[in-house]
Amino acid sequence: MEPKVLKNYVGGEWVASEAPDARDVVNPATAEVLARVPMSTAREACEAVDAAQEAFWAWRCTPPITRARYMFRLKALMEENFEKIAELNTLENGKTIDESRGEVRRAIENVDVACGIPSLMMGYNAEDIAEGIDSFALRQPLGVFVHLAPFNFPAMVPYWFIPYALATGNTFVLKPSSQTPMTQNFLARLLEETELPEGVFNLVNGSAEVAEALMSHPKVKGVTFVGSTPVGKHVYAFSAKYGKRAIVQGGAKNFLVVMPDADIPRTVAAILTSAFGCAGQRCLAGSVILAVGKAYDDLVPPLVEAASRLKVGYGLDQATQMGPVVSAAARDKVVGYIDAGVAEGARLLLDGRGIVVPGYEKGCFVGPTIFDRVTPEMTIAKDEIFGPVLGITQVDSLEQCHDIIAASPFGNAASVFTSSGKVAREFAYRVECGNIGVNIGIAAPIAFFPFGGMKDSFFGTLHGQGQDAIRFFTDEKIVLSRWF
Amino acid sequence: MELEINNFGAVLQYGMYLEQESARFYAEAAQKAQDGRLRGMLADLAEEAQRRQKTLERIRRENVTEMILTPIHDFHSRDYRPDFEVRSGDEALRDAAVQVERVKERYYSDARRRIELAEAGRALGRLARGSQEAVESLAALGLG
Repeated sequence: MEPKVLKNYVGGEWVASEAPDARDVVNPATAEVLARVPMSTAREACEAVDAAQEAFWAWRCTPPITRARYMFRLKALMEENFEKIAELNTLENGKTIDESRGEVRRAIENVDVACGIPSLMMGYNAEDIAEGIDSFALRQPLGVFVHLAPFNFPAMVPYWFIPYALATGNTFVLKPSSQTPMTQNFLARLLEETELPEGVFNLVNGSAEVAEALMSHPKVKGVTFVGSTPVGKHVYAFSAKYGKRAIVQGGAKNFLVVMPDADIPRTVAAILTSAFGCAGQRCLAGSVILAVGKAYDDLVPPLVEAASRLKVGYGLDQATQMGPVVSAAARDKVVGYIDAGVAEGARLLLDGRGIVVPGYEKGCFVGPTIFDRVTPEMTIAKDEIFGPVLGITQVDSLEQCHDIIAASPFGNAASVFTSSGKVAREFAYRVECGNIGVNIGIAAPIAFFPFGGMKDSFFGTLHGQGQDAIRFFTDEKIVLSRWF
Repeated sequence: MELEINNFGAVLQYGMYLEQESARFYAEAAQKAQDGRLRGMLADLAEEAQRRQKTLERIRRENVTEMILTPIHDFHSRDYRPDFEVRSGDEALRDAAVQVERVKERYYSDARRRIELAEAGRALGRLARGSQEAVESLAALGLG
């Protein structure tokens, strides 16, 4: 049977794209073609923006409490379809079913927060700012917003933005990742089921042509993007050129500092999840361990032993602890980095190359990989590998860790494992990263906090999630009034 | 069902399997029971197993987050396999039900010790207590 071609959702209708080109959406564990995703045209992207603009005023005038009810309905539908969403997510992305469940939960939590919109978007006021004059500040929606989604969290990342944009009274056009579009296509059906007014939410499948048409459209007020730093820089420049506000989250190279006083068994467990969870395809994945002094000897043997026991396999098998990377190209890229690490003189303690999972021989698997004797100038210490590859550098002091982290162009996340409050405080105080973990492997902000990022990991001012998202999706208007 | 219970999701999945099989077992056993009180008790346990399955689904839905994908070691379904065969005779049915609930009580107690998340741990504790109470009620039932 021919795989079905996904449709676009524009103005409340599911419409087939006119584009002649479509790409396969492939299950990375089985190589099965799950669907075909159309490479929609710029004209189709513009039609979606027009539909969103058309819907804006009526939606903007809908009371926040009414808009919140749509969010409550969306939450109920997501809970009801929880397993279906998680399974789709695993099918197209490859991560384990538990990782998908965790991701769907994080998506729902953003809807939970947006349900509080009547309070969240309240303004403030002051009487008698001058004699007989009062002033108040309002938060108002702006119009049409766009999100360009990454492949690594097909369910969650768009929900750092969509619930807040809609709840604050904006309308929306989503371009899902062309590698993993099915989850968001399904979630769009749930949004449709909430009976949102036509045009409030729209989805256009496609690639760069769609993205550029959306970003340059004069009716689009803002752009949100999560992806690699090179593409992020392009998106940010493009958004600036066309006068859009933007949230642009880029790549990462996250350091995990292990102090000699760390609780080693708990640290090992946290590092395993951080480095190898989602097959290392997280922007918050721990990538380089900086082991201070004797922490190296205490940490490395149990870490390598535990990593070697991780069960790699098909994400829908409940016992699987690590799934494949997203595609054959991604696997080849990761293997290329492992080859580079060996060539540049790092010592390979655990080699994930050439792994074959029985029954899934066509799968894009890379096993957990650990290097030590990694030095800061090596490629594997500098580049974002986006795979299950962990480097270890032995250092003498915390000060040396600060220097290494400061030298990285990225500033997404960093963690310290220690029993010392003083060390933890100094780390959080000094490290120039948007998300800091203290004895936490994945410093992932929950929905009511903004998802940070610094240096080349983030471009913009306000972030996704929480109050930052409310501010991003609204403008402040100050009214001064005097009555004669 | 053979399952290496090596993560949080697997703990709950095996629990759901136990409850699903329990519901089927109790429904069949209730139909075979001669004693009215035993029949009622088994029918209640069938309903309770369905409710517990939903509870486990909810725990999984609400508590599986990235923070608790930590691997679990040395935990396997083969150590928690009740005999779900529905036999003839009220005493045999009651004994089988006691055996099923004892395995579940042991499973949930052991699972609770392996899960650090308090909310999920509390729910597993409640399930273990429920099984223990079922064992006591079944044992207190004078038959014949």
